[in-house]
Amino acid sequence: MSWQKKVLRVNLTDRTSQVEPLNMEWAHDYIGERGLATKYLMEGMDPEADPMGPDNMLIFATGPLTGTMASTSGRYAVVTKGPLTGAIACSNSGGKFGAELKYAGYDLLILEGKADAPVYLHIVDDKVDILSADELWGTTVWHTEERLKEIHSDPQTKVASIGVAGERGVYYACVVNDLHRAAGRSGVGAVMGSKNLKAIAVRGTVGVTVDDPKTFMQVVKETKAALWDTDGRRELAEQGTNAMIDSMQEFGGLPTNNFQEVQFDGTDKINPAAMVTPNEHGHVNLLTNKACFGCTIACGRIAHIDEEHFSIVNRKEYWHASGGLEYETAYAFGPVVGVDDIDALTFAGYMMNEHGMDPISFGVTLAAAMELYENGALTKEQTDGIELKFGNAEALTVMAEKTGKQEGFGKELGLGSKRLTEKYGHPEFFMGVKGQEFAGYDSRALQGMGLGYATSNRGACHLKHDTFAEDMEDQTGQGKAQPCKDSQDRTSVIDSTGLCLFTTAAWGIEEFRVQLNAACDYDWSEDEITKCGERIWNLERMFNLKAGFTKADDTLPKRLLETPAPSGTAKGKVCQLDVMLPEYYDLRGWDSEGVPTDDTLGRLGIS
Amino acid sequence: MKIKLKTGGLLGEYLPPGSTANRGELEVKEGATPADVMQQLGMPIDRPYLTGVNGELITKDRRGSFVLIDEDELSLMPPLKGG
Amino acid sequence: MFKSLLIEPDKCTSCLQCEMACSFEHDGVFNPAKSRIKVFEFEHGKRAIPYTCTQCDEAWCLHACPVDAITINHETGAKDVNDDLCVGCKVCTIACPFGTINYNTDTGKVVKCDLCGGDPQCAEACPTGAITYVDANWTGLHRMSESAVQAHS
Repeated sequence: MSWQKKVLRVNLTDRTSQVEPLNMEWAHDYIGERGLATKYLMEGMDPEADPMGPDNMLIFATGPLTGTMASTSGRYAVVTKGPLTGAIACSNSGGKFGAELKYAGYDLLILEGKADAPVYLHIVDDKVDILSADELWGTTVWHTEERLKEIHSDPQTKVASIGVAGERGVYYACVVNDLHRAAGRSGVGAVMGSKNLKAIAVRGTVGVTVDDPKTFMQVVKETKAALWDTDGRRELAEQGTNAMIDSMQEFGGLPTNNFQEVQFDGTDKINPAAMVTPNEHGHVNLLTNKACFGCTIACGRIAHIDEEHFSIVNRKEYWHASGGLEYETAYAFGPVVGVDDIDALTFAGYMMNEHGMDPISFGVTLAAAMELYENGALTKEQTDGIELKFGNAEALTVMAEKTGKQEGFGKELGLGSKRLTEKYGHPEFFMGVKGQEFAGYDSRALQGMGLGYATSNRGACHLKHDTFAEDMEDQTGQGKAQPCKDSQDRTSVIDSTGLCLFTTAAWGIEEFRVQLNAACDYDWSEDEITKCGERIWNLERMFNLKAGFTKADDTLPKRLLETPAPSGTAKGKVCQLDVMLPEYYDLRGWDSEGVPTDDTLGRLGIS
Repeated sequence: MKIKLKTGGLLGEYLPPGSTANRGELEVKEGATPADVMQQLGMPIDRPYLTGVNGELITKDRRGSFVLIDEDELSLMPPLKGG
Repeated sequence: MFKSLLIEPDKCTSCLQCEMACSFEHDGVFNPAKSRIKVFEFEHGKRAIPYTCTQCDEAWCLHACPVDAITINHETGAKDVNDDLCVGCKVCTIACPFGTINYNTDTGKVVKCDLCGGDPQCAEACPTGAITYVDANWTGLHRMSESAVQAHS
């Protein structure tokens, strides 16, 4: 019935597992994936727990539509308390793993406790084994995936795993599944590592049914056609999300040199056109596009590095294809560190996938390190003889690898930019919110983005709201609070269905509602579904307040609030958070300290 | 008069023949506005593109009124959206 | 006129909607584990290739079957398994050199592509046209036309 109505709960301390029925009241109120996992987290752990300790709960969560024929049905979320931020972490991924977990018969996989030695989880439908990961610990994500398929003699096994970065607690280590998709942000991979959990290998043959197959396939067909026909879909398929880099340059909001600049003169070397133009060796970066499970869009990139490039010239093991540049990777390895060498950027991306790290946080952390270096707070002796100067492609490739392997200065970079800049005496060089680094949008140019960054429950994030349309038309803080709040609620719903945010190129919330209603044995009215979104957002907020966050954390670095943008369309502007935030709290039904009022909580049914 | 064109995303498909992937030129009438140029290129004029002239942001409401002069660079980019 | 599935791997994005459509059509459930068409990835995801029974004329499966459970469907030209007769001996799975007939442990019968009786759902589902349903006498037609243009332009 869309939901499998089963939760697999694993206790890693005792090495036991049990299946329990899904709480259907919670499922109706929180839908699935992000929302539902948040509810289980709130009810199942203390928000003050140490994120790297055994009392942190780690949930792999599918949505009701995961594994169905609704377009983009491959999504799942990893929900936990994030080590990078100390706030709720909800990291979303695609690929094939989530669908497979659902096909094995589970809506949620809950992991508790900590194993006393490295283990991995092997799930084949109702057969659940916790096995020794001794031979895998210390190896890469790519090796782990291959090996698990060999060990279990099953090439159809899907794997989610961590690399050395996650094992050793890199604060932004991520979970990689299917070689080059990831639950990337907030250090969810480090949580897995802290539990001595190397990987989850799953094979599912139970399948997913829907409540009203005829209506379901009809609405799927209609929504799929609507999605296919939009320019937004075609742009994503042909160019991937990196089409954004030219727009952001034009908009004067492309963060460069750790947000010291907002324009970068190297975009022509790393934009989508550069990805398809032969270089001086006749090498073309982009090979093809790729879809996640069930996806009609196919925004994924498959690329390869020029074999003569310094990063891999004597390393045949990297001459194969892998994930190519998306917008966030292009930004984090390009403008924010000042590098315009497309092969260096692509190699850094390989390192992220092979060793399991968030490219955004890594890139912005390296940028902070470069600013420390250029200000004399770091010396060449400390940085393994590498000059951490903006624009140094070698610094990018070498440090990406060292951080993945936790060698040399890579150990410092593994702290993330907040801890790194504090350690070396320049906390003002940290470009992020609540400990998490910014995505590729400078909020002096995109004002509503600034509000979204400041109020996102998981730290600085560009995906939890959508004020792009308003920000394009108006580079002030006026009129941004309402669209920010509305889009946050809407995105909370979308992230809970099992489908991908990029369907919003064509769909509004109604398209999600009709597919959910046809698939599930429950119907949400228009009012109800909107309320679900608001409920999910407020529950996440409550988790963070209980974890110790306050209004003081809903802020932006001084650089964005006080230093005017030096060039571009937003030259002279600062981010008008002071205009947007009070109005936002008010619209949210929160008091002036940013705490949801009893009225608001009561209206949403949150105790 | 001549207008220089810069595009991003798939909008290069609207550039006149002889253009490179994202750069082109167009002969336009005196007093032409960005909306006029877009119409001449065959682009729908009220989609949420990002429009700029010589680095200055031209919001949607000004597309039909901002007057271009010779050698101006008009940039036409896909709308900003999440990624 | 018989029609045949045409696979053009360059268009395949590995979305696996074909696998879901196949299992949904035959078993009423979204379950790639039961799909008769499978997508294979090579070279770290550089290439994705959907593959299934090509309804070959030699029909090793048909000839190997000791109980004549596999017959030719006169409307589609497909080699179809009759579940009422199939005994699950799996000799056909050994005989087929392409691996496109397989045993289903839930039902105890073998399964293979039957072109959905003439309206193949994989082709219907494929968003990029990597799988289409074309005149079986002219599966090369599209490529021939592209070559014609290349040779004479």
